[in-house]
Amino acid sequence: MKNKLKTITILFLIFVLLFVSGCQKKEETRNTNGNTTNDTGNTTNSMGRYVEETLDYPEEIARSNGITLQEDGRYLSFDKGTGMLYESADKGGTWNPGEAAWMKNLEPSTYISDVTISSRGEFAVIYSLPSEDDSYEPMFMYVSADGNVRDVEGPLEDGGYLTDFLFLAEGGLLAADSLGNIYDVDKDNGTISKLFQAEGYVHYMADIGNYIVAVRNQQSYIYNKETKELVDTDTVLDTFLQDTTKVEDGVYSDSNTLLMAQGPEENSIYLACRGGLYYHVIGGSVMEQMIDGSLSTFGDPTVTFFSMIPEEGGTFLVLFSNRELVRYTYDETIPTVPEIELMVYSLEDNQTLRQTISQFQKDHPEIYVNYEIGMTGEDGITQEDAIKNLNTEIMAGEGPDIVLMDGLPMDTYVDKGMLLDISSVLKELEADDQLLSNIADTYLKDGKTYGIPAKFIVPMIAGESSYVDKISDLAALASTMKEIRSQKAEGSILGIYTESELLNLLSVSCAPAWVSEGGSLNKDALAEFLTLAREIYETEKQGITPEMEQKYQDTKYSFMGQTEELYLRESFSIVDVYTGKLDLACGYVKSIDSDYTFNTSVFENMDTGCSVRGWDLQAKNVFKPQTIAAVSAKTEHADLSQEFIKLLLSENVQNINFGDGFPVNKVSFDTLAAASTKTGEDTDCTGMLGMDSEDGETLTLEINKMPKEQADNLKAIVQNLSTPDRTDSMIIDSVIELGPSAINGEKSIEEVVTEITNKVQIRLDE
Amino acid sequence: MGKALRNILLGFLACIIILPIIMVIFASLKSNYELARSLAPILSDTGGMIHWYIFPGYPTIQHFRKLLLETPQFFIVFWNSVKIVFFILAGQLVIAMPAAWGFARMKSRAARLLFMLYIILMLMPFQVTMLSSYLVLNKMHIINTHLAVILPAVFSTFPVFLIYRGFTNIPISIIEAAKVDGAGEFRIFIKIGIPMASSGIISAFVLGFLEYWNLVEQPLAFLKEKRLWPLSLYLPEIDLAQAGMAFAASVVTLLPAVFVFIMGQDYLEKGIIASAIKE
Amino acid sequence: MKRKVKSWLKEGKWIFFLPSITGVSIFILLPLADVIKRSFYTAVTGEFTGIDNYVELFQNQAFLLAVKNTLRFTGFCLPILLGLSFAVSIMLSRLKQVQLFKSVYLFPLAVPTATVVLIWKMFFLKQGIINSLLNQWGMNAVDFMGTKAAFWVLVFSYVWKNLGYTVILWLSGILSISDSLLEAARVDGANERQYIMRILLPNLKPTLYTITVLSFLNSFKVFREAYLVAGSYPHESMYLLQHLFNNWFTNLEFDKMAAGSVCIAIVLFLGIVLLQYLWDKKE
Repeated sequence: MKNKLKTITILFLIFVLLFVSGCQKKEETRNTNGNTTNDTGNTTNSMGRYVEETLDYPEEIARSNGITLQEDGRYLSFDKGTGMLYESADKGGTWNPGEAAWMKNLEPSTYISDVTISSRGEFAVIYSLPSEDDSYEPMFMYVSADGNVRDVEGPLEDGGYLTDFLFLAEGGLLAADSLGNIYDVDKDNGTISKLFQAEGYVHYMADIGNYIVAVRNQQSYIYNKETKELVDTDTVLDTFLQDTTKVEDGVYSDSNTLLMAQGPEENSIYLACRGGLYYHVIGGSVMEQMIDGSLSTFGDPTVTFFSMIPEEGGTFLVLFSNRELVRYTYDETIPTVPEIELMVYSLEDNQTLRQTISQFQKDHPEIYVNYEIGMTGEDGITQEDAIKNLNTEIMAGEGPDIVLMDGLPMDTYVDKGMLLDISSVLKELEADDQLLSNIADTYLKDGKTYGIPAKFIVPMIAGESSYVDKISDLAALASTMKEIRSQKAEGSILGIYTESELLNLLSVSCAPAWVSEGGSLNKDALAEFLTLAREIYETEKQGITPEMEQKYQDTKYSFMGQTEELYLRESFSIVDVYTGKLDLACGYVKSIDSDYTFNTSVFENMDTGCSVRGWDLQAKNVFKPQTIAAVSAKTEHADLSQEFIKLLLSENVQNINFGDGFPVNKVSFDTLAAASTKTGEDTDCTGMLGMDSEDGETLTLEINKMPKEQADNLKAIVQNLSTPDRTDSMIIDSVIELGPSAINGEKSIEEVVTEITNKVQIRLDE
Repeated sequence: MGKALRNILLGFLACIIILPIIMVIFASLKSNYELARSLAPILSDTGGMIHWYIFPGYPTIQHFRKLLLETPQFFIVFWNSVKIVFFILAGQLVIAMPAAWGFARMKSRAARLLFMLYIILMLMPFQVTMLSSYLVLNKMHIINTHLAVILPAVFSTFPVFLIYRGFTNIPISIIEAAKVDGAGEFRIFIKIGIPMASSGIISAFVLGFLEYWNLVEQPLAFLKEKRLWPLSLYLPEIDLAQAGMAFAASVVTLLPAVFVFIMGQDYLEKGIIASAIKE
Repeated sequence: MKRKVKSWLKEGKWIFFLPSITGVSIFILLPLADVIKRSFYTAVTGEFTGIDNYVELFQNQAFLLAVKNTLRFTGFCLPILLGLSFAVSIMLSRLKQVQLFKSVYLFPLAVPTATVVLIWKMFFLKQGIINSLLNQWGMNAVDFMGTKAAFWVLVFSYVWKNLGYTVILWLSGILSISDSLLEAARVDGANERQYIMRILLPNLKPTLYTITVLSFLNSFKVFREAYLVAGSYPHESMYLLQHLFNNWFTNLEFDKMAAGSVCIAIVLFLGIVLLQYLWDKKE
């Protein structure tokens, strides 16, 4: 019994420990969880919402520094490109250009990076002069209210340089540098002295009451101006920053997605971000949402924020990156959440969808669009669990109105009558020749269609023409590889190292051939696939040395944060083809400018002629439909839903490239292609690419837009697309899972085909 | 059977049984780098075989530290689990115990039929009624609240079955004696039934705790928001980057369960003894 | 009839059931009724189809496979578990220091499923520990999860988890057999075998009943582990009823699910009735 007691006490103590530390943490999180009004669970009966009103902002301002409120009530805005200073005396309604007197002090060829204006008419300017060796030497200038120009200290000891200025409400001037130091600037003699330091480059700064608030990487630094010290972190603020100012996937970086301004009480802040406009008292426990991002331009994924000014009377004036100058006024007479609710669902976050929602919301302020994502990626939900949850919602009558079918079992949903026939939308748009019909008609059957793909991606292969032009099917790929191998004994050809990687790669253009009309497995096609895949694998392996193998395994280890997903990396492989590491680059091409044009540009730098073509293996002219829009059969808002789909397919939305596929809207496609085609002007060069070659040299490539022949080539490829890849992912997964033993010879081809057939048979039986 | 042989066999069996657990505990003390190298062949496709050494080469408590001190979500899910299990067990106390008593005392045909129904209901796998349960709970507007998990579990017929055994073992003579003394059914239940079957009751709760502490299907289906999730759903999908934390989380999930049944073990046995004696 | 009802009510014992029955009706019977109803309609559109679903069900190859596998699984794992645990418990009953063993044997119950799964993956995958050991000893690797061996992995997992608990159940039963009985047997010169057959077994019947029901219940729980290790479409031999139901759910085949559920319920009912009958008879 004594022993027992001992164990019990020990365990109990551990428990108490957990309990205690747990309690603390819980307190904090409770504060934020309980008070953040991020969720959209507003009661339908509450009234009052901020309404947007767009003002005229001068269109000719190419590079705006934002807007600043002067003490006398005027607004100022500066065009960094032309050097003109715009003034508005009627609260932003009309703007009048004028000259900034201090511009005379600068050379004509000066490049102005940034201008900050104080509320008293002072300016802080960051500029640079063009230098021969392309080095960047910024210079800094302070202009007082009466026009005196003073230079501000330039390059700093530790290699940093000043990046931002901030005028304080009581008259001081601060500067931030690229390393995260914040300085006080002496306006009289232009010298700087350090106040505090953040861990690195500070993205946003604001003057709030007694404090300076600096934000970097979702973390805040709060400096007390009186005590001249950094104060303890404001956990509510930090948690909020982490939750709501996340960087979105590859679309926009951290810049310009957060704005801070002085609130009505001394140490209160207004924060503007994607989630909307919030109010917070520094050190307080409340983060109150005042404007819902999803009901306003704040939530638009294509805009960032330039300036936000809280005005007297409780309105807000905001300048967005798309030149929209918006005033937000509180209207008590309209419901907080619009009465009509439209629910949109997708399994994974989709930028094109977000853009459509934002646009639709603006066009229809009386409708509330609720966007639900099945797998946000943070929780441990599997795809299947997400689908099951969706199904339960639908069966309970709470399903979405609009669904993106990516990842969902399309055929099943159609069979069970879950979707609405939206062929009317299709017909309308095709009547105007708006769409690429070969793509848009993917799901059209007997005059009805239940899903329209808004984007599509195409598997392509690129490399030396003498090879690529010959690869017209899987057998040709195998024989061409042998040819390459005979000339290149060592080295990778395709860039794959394991059997399943190869299967994954090849399945892209072979899977459609594995399923016959009736839905059953085509055993012959499978057998052919595995046989040829084996050949290809062996050819590839012949040139891989143990060192290469080891290096590859090591890099896999070092990517510890990466998940399993093998992405098909055609455009990255191109660089490897250039350096000679690989010979054939294959995979999905998703965008015109960053993928396809990138390819052609790298080619231009190569000695031998290269070509890009659609990747034909067992299936030819393959494409994969993406962002497949559908409407639920149980929707109560069929008309609105179809209007939404039309918007999704319209030029406005389709013109924007989110990197998620080519647009199915024909006009948009042509527009984007034209934008990436050479015109003979300076804009043809879009950037430079630097990299290390195998021998350790550094190479630089010029990245240009594509020549007309390549643009035509792309158009031809796209117009010839005829085989949508709609193969059941279970089948593909089974092949990738069971295939390796056939490829490396462990089992015979027939054996594995039988295994696969048996496995798939269960699925077909169900 | 020779004593030595018997002991060896039993010892061997014990080793097999406990080996996985020991591995988990030690694994939680391994650094991410070690884990990545060992687990890579299993969790991703890099070829080669697993190399696993039981003892960590460089033991570290970084995972525990990260989990307990730097992940506030962990505490939310932990206390969610505690809350859910506590209320379920409390509810079962109030609901299942009386029902078990009733079954033990009433031997009528109807009661026996009802009891059989209870057993059948107990055996139904969750998938069978998942959708329908969702619909019912949805109509009651408790989906996405903890009640959706707690209420159905409170009325589970499983504890009724277990506690029933405890009650049937009370010698009739004692009950009859009490009746003669003029005690009503309820008093007998409280003063005699519960105390005498206490071990059976506690064993039912220990088992209940283990069951509900690791519950997965119901929370997954009925709780939408992550902030409501119990610990059992939180164990992240173990991938290379998180393996260490996952092992640490496993150990932390294990501890309460172990704690509970060490405490309850004595009762567990007594309860089982009692349930086996008389039928 | 009336008199019977009156006497029940008089006894007042039905009050004890009331809360339980109410809750069970709402939270368990109501959904069940919904399921039964669904078995006669189409899944989503809700059109009446009579017994079409049942007819389809019995012709469905996947269903038949799942049934076969589930029966097979139960048919193996129950006897194995019961037999093994019984043997172990007898051995343990002779031991003085049972305590330690008992604590150890109970551990598997406390381990969360996800952890168990990872451990199994570590052991049983093609590149796992067992195979690497086999390789070291010069034997061929066994593809556990991809062949019929998968079935046995499942059985192993089940036994591993439930052995300890079942042993303790047996043990308690054995230890409760009054010593006088044992003494008498010894005096009569009974040997091991006779001891087991004539004395232990007959007295352990109630224990056996409880254990059977509980083990049967636990055999269903093995699904989660199977699912996490091998996914929705595991090797044929491992494909259980719950896999099928799970997949049907994802594909909106609620009508077939409902019909299947009703069939299972009927089978369970018959099974319990049978068990009960055998029980009462022996008494």
